[in-house]
Amino acid sequence: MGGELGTRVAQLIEARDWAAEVVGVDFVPPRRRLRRAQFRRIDPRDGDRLAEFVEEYAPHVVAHFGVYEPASRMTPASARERTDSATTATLSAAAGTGALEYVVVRSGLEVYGPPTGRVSVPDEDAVPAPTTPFGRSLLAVEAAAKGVALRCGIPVGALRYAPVVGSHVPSPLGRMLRLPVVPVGALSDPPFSLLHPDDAAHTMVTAIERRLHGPCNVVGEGAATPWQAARLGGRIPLPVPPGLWGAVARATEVAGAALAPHVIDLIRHGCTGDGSRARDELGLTRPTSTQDVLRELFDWADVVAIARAGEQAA
Amino acid sequence: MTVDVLDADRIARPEAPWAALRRRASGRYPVDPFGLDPQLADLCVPLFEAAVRVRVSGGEHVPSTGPAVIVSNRGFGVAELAALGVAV
Repeated sequence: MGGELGTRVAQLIEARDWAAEVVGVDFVPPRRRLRRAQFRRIDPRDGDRLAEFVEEYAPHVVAHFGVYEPASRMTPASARERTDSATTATLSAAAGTGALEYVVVRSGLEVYGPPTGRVSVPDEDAVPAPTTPFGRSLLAVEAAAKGVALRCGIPVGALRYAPVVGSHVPSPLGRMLRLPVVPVGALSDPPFSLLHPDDAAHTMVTAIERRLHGPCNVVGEGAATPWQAARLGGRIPLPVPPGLWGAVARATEVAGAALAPHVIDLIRHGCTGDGSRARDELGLTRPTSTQDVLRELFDWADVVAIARAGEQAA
Repeated sequence: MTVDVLDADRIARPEAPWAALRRRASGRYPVDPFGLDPQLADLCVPLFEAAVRVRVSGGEHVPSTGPAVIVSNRGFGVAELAALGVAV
């Protein structure tokens, strides 16, 4: 609940009558004011404490956002550790209470891996073949959720989000695109799709309400290419030959925008998915387009100097 | 709201090369998830038209907007892709 997405979902759920009680857990507090939802600060690495809390609370529905993106708010090693611990502790404890009715987990298009040797716009039937640590981490979360479905005999949904970026969303892709010079592939300019944070939050709530079962791609409309994204933001695209991405990643890290492998994968090979199921079953008929998500990413509010009373009089 | 609508760009008359290049430099052009870039296609068509001569029959059966499936009766080489691009 401490992330941007978790806070938005908590705000939407607490406005629903069907939610008798809403409780969130994270190692950082929520980003916005919550009226009814309660927050418990527990570091996901403390698996025993987290499991103890979940057992005590015995939730009916679990919306699992405990998937930490490498280089987003923490180092890749820390992200993997927190994701593994949060998933194992939360799902196994919730499954053991006997009260669980539904689980939905946050996953991503990164589970499909690069489009080499498969369709370029995969639907949910495509076989996942992740090649990056984040993709493998997401697939492990899905596998853990499937285990709960088998153990408890309940529906379990997995929302495979396109990369979620926005001006207030911490993301390595967003940070990289906001650099003055943006690295792009020298030999290809493949399309990628993005997802607006509001669309991500709404589909999560709809998945809970409709008890979505199985994986579901959630993708913004249309696509953009890395070169185009850089130009939309008025940035300078820097073509990078295949062998130099390691050096570029080190340079961008110094500039404050560490490049995780899944971001390099997106720039080099693209990242899109077929969002038909989300449209049909979750009612995502008019998602924010990828190019509008990019425009919002670059749309920083201007700093307006407020004159003091004396200065104003002068 | 989306400024650049893919279908609108696909059926619109090609822009003057200078205007197209300026729009390209600003990033304001549509791309679909399969990588189709109608504006780039418009810029490249004159090159292919110079190299490949195409005669089209039955073109009225292909809708100007929306989906369509074009089925080939032979494997694709280099010339077939260029011819199809110019014809469509």
